[in-house]
Amino acid sequence: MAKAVITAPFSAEFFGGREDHLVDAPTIFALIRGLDLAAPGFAQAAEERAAIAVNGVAVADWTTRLESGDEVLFVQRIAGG
Amino acid sequence: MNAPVTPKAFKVVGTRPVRPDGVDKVTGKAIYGPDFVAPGMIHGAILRSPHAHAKILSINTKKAEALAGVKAVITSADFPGQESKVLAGGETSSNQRDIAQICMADGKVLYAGHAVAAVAATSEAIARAAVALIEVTYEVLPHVIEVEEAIAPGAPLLHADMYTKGVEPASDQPSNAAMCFTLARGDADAALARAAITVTGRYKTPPVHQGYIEPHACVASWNADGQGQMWVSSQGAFDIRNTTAAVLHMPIADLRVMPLEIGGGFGGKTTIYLEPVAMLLSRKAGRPVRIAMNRQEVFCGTGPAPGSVADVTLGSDADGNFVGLKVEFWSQAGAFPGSGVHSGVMTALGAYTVANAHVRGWDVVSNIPATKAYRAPGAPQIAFALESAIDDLAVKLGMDAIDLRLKNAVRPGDPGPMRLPHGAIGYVECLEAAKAHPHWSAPLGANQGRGVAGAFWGNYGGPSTAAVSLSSDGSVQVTTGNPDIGGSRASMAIMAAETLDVPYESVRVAIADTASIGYSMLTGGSRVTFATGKAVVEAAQNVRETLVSRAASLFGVDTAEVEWHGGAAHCLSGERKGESLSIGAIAAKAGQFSGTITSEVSINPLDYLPGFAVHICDSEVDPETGHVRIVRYTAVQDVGRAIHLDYVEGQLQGGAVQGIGWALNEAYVFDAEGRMENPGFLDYRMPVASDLPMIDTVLVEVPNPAHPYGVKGVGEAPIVPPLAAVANSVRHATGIRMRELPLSPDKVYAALRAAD
Repeated sequence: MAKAVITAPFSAEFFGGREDHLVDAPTIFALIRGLDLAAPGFAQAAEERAAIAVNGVAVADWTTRLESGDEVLFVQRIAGG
Repeated sequence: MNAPVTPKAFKVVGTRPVRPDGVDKVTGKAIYGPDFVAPGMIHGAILRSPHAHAKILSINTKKAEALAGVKAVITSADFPGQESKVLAGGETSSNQRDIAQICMADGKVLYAGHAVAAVAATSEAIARAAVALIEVTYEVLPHVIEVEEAIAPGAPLLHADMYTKGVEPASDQPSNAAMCFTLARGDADAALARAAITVTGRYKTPPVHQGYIEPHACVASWNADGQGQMWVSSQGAFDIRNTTAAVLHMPIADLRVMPLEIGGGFGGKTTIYLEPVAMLLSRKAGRPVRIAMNRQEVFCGTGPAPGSVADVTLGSDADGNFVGLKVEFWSQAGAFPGSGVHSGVMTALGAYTVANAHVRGWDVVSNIPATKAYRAPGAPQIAFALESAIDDLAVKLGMDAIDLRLKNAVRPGDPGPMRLPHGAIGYVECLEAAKAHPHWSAPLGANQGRGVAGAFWGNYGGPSTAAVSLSSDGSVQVTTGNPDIGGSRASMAIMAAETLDVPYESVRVAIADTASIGYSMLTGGSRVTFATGKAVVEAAQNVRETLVSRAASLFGVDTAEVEWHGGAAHCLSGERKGESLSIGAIAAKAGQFSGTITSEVSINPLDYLPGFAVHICDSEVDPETGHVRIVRYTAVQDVGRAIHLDYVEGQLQGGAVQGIGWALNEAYVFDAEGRMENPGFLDYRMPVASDLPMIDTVLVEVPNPAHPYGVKGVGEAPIVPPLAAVANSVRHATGIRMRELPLSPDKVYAALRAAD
């Protein structure tokens, strides 16, 4: 099981403020699909607005493999100028 | 201190070669947005609203259409219908309907300067005369400009269907507050209640302009077969193409965008204003159409950096350890949501360790142009408040202002604002460099004060494509999709030359159009030298591997028996041991292999690292007039590794100067009707060279281990500290804490008299 940590604003928008979620998923794609089942619309929001890190390292590729115990952090994506 | 982690000797990286585009730019040959001419081209002009907030009851274009020379007139009715849909672009996303409505008002104008209709004619004079013939009937509505007024009960609402996102419970009343974003850790209220010392204050900054010299301009040609071309000066041809195509409901591949030289952007040229308008006029007229804004249109019709209001309370223990921070931050988004709230909130927690913090930002719409990025969007405003508060805390503690920052500065491994641990960051090194700099201990004159401020900025990476190919003589062509704003041609050439071990002068860099290379995110977010540079290096490495492989075949040995250095392959064994083949000699043999040597690489790196900076400012306050003169200024920054020293130093100097202008002079001023009163560079006073001392720079090099040459983004961080550095110097000079920018002579004079 990977641990998804959904921070604000996504936690409030989709999960009633709950941040931690255990999901059995071999990839980030699968994890997000699982979360989207629980909270429809989350996958689209993640694609449009989230930055993702696995075990503290930012990743862009949603095919990244996940191991049991991995922590997948979802945070607001930040714009620059 | 300041020593690179990997003290590798480079031949070209870290030097100061002549920029490859320099001759064209200093001789006026370079073609910028307003310069481009297409065969058969006609000219566009835009009618803009005189009202800050009004319903459009009717638009009569008949007289304009009848004017001789007029070829097309459009209004929002010519735009395809827009749905409220998120468009991914750059680092973040925008609403497609909002973007379209910024290009052309639909039913309602939301700021004085909002586009209402457009004309294309055989001359610019005819187009402007025709614009004056368009009759618009408005129902003027109450307007609101300032953030505090916009969130007050009963304020005029800009968008009847806007409900504040991010609040619990969900809002059921429409509001001008579009969104709220909070980062919290620990218990800030309890920590502040326990703090030995606290400081608190409300800080305000006005909207300010990015100050790019070149106005927005484009030429569009939309053919009868549905395919279109645009020639645009922007920070990113690909994102301009994608957004324009979305607004016009075109297949993206039907639109080709040719990047022109850009005369400054700083975040202000990351979006579209004219492009769909010019395209629609072109389709209607059957001719290419150029639209170029004048300066007044730039000020009134495009997005400045947002104004802000911030309430800050910071507490420490008796030793100066930060124990609690509370920030409430309102960002003046302008007519549509999307100001830099997330990055502002993040910035508040970026540079210091504080276990208990609650930082909340609000995105507030009001009747000014929809604001846009200005270098580190949202960060200077929040840093002005926080770094001023830190200065006040140092005074209360009786501590050196740099020592207080050092005591609380983030270090590698500390959690970052978004919980990710900081990597190889160099804030402590910057603070130590600032403290060791002669500036920090130099004597001050009469009426002078010294201020310091630090900065965090997140930076970015993201998608980039680069190609490296060899000509038959061995000269090197590098092609990227990123407009060169800050000298990136030179930086890309340096990195390619270093990787291939060839002279800098043998490498030429081109900026490709959107049909000629893969997608590259815009030039912004301090990302190009990092991300596009990484793609260039990877492509150059591929080319070098091919060169070695082909040399091995030509030598008749394994690749392991070939060494590459000095721009040549050297045979290490066999009959031809000791012989060399130059890059040109190998490239000339392409016919004996699978073709010319080329590599195109598309990457999406996110292993960028944030930037940290420390600025020291000495100012002199004239007690008779309130005028503040900057007498000495030093900018220190962790740059990872400087690829081209001049351009890195130039980024630090440019950011400092823009921040000084923000601190001392600049502000959008609106009259009672919500019209901007100073839409030109005479009345909107940016600093010029004669206003300023030399900006000294100190490049601290803590390399990013994820980049082959250690690069960190440098373009945005230097605009973050100056607002507070200047304000802190004025406090030191006068003993007065001024919390509202700009520190213009009238305000400083009033503060001095009030303190008498």
